[in-house]
Amino acid sequence: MFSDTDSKAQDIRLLNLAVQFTEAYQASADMPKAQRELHLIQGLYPDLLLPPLEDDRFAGRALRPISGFSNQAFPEGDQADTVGFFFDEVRANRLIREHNLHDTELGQQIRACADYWRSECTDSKIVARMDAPMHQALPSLLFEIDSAVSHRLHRIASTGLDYAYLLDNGIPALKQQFADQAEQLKDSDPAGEDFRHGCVAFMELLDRVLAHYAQTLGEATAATENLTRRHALNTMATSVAALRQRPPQTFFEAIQLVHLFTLVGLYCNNFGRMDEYLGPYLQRDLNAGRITQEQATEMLVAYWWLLNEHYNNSRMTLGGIGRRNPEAADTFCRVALEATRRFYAKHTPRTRHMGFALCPQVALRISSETPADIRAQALAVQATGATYPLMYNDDVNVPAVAKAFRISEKLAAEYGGFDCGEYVMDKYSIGTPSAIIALPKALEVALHNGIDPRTGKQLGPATGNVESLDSFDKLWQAYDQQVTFATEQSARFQKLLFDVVSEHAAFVAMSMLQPDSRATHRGILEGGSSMLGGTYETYGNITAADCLFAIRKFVFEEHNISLADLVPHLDNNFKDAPELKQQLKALPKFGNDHDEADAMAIRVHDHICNLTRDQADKVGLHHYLVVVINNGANVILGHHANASADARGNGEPFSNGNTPSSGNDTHGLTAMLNSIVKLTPDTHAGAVHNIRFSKKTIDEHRPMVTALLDTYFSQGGTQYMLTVTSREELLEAQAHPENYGHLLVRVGGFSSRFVELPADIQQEIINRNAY
Amino acid sequence: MPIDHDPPTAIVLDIQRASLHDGPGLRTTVFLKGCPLRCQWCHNPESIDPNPVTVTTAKGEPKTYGQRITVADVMAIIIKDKAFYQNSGGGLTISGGEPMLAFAFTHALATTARREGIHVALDTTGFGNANQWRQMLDVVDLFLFDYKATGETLHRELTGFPAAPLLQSLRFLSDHGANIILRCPIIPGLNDTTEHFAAIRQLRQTHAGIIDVNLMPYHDVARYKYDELQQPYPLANTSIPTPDQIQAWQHAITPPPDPNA
Repeated sequence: MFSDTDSKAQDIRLLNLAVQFTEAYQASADMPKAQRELHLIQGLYPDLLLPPLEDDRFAGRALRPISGFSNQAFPEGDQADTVGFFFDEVRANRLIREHNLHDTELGQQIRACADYWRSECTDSKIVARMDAPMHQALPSLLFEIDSAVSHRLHRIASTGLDYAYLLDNGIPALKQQFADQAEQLKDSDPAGEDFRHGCVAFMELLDRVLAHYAQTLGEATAATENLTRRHALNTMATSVAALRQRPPQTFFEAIQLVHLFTLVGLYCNNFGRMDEYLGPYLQRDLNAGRITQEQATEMLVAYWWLLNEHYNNSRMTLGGIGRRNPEAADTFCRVALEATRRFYAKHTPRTRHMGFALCPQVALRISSETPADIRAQALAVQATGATYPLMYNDDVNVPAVAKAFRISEKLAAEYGGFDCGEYVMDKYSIGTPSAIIALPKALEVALHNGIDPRTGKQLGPATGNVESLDSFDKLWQAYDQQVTFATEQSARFQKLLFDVVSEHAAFVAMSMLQPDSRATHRGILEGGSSMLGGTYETYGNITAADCLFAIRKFVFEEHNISLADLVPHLDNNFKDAPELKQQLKALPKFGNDHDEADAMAIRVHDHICNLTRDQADKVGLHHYLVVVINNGANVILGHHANASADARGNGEPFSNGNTPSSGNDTHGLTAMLNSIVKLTPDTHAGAVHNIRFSKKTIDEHRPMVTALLDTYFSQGGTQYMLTVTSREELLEAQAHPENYGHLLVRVGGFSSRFVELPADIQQEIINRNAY
Repeated sequence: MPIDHDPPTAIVLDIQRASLHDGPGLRTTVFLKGCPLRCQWCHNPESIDPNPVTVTTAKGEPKTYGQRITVADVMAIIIKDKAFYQNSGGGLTISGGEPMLAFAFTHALATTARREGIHVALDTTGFGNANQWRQMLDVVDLFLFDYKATGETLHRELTGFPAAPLLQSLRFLSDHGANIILRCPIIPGLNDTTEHFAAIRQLRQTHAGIIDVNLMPYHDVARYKYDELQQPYPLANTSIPTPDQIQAWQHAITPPPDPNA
């Protein structure tokens, strides 16, 4: 969310702010939590704010604090995400070291802060409340480093926010409204008082931020000689000044307000149905002749740049049914698609968390109402290699989401692919992932009596030695028990995380932008959100299915080898049995429209999706659903697993989203798409499917590509992301990375420059079939 | 068991789905083994032998080309992509080898596909007799008909087969209402001659059934297959045509605009 800095003065300012923040936290323990949260955030501003950079068109940049409050913070180095109040000890230590501050008073203060936060940060409070089964099932946060079946995540991401409410009302009116409510309801609803005061305080904070920019930008305008830049700075200065007085009136002001609210209020990367809330402003400006389409496009290119700079994997959803003003929203879609094309043709966005992020990620929902020109434009943008927009199929998804989330189709029509691809109902729901699971690892552990062969740790229940698994049913039972154990604990952990975090924080800014929270005057975690739920990220589903199919057929039906004899070959990576690997490789695999192989994928899919869905009621969540995403974790988690019965080698990647394992789809794209649509969409919160076309195919056979994708959707396809590239191009790019900085490659839920990816992930992309 | 009662089978080399290169739309192309011709540039030498062939790949692994399957087996695969055919104007293409060598199978497959409402294309060298073509006309929507060399002597030299019976087939199909796309492999140094291009133009003008002509410029990606089959690659010294060359060929086969039009 915040920019890094190298300057010593800034670093010292940040260290001092961390000390101040810590002291304020310690001194405010008796304050009600919403007011305390705002009191502490207010202490960081305006110190964290930075002036716009040379090319910025909107005001709003900030430093990343060392200690602060967030629904999802990204500390430095190998540390995992954190939630709530945090202190980035690694970063603080680095700055102390770099600036030689060990023996200074500041150095001592920072050490004291680090000591304090180690037990006081919200993360530690969550861990302290985990019980033994949770610890066993979810031993680590660091899935990049530690081998496990399931890893937990500390974050409250994937929250749908009602930006239209912010824009419709504007800051002065909202501040007044919250203050009036605080006064009127203090006797009748004392429990909501803290929340209402928190809302008022947040509006005051936002006003202070606007005032800061109004003043500093006014000064900067006066000091700037370049007329173009002067004009740009003046536009920002007058806009932020105006937003202190009234709601936004123009497209520019609306973007400016959304940006500053998000920058200051929360770590939010989910901008929801942006065409819904920005479309009307754009349409009005165009109708009135205030701006041209070209100017609007350039504005969005500049905004995309800020999103890329400030948020990890920011994303938005365009299109789809259920929009209040579809015509204006479609106008926004057209401009946003063109901005997306230009943005990815022009910028080399920084690569960050896990090395894959390119943002914003733009998703387009397609329905029978979508104008034909928008569909064609979307494919044209994808054909440039931008990899966006990601495409979602309303005809299938709206009823599927309604069923999976147990909500009306009207509410389901608000769905969008958030965070890594999990569906969240815009404005209404929270669907943050609490944990991830590697299904092939669960199978591996089942083949070793609950023990991780890599570490010797007992990761799950003892489900029997491999010799005792003398039928496929018994193997399936062992697998089921391993997966069930991890899934149950993950759901319990999700609830625990909400409960513990809720004891310390109200998430005022997020809560005020959810209608349910606003209506009840409760934070989203304390009853404010009517759709407080979670997701379980599953990886390698198809790998697990291919392995189970191979074992059933090769071991238990054809009796080529016993299971007890097979497992040692897996553990030593087929070292003494290359023929065995070939035989396993030759067995049918998912993704070829092969009914038997696909049936196993359906079984694995239904098993994990239903099992996860059924946890919600047990632990007291609105929903708890699988999300079959991919963000490169399939590659990373593959590192932690031995060779597998699908002929995957030791440490090699797992399958990607709900698409076949690399190189296993050998029967053409129609066969792959037919396989994919066999997996039911109405039991989970989203699944990701990567489809690749060569540049040649997409350029020379555009009508055929269109027909293919349309047919896939009409046959029940839910989603696709499209990568355009050629194998030759990729090989050439490996050899000469300096010439291929432009080559964008989609890696599951994320995207990146091909040349910036690690070698093994490059190889994985090359191995995937290109059509 | 009387042969007539057996379901037709054939040695199928490959079934390619989502093919963009064997007729209009998205197609499933069924490649049958066996070919009476011996074209020097053959891209699918593994298809020539009518029986399954096992070779050793460059990696030293055994690989078998060809598997005997029934019409029903093939149809079960073809039918799965019906929605894709319908939305793209595609269908089934029966190719080879020379699919007319396995006439009973080819005819039965085309008939069954047609009955399912699937568009059928036949990729053929023209090998077949009038009786067979008469039957195929009822079940094939589009003929992808090869034309490879001009002049009886040259045709025999380059393809190992006489030209006359193939041209007779072309004439018969055209005269009986077939839709034909003429497919012409052009190999530098072998058939990229003025005379050949003129003949293509003339065929176009004298055969009402020819709705289009596709040039198929030589490439050498099939070279590795000859290594697998342990056969010498016949065109080792043939160069790959440049885009300019291809454009010139294209120009050469295009009839001049009709002055009366």
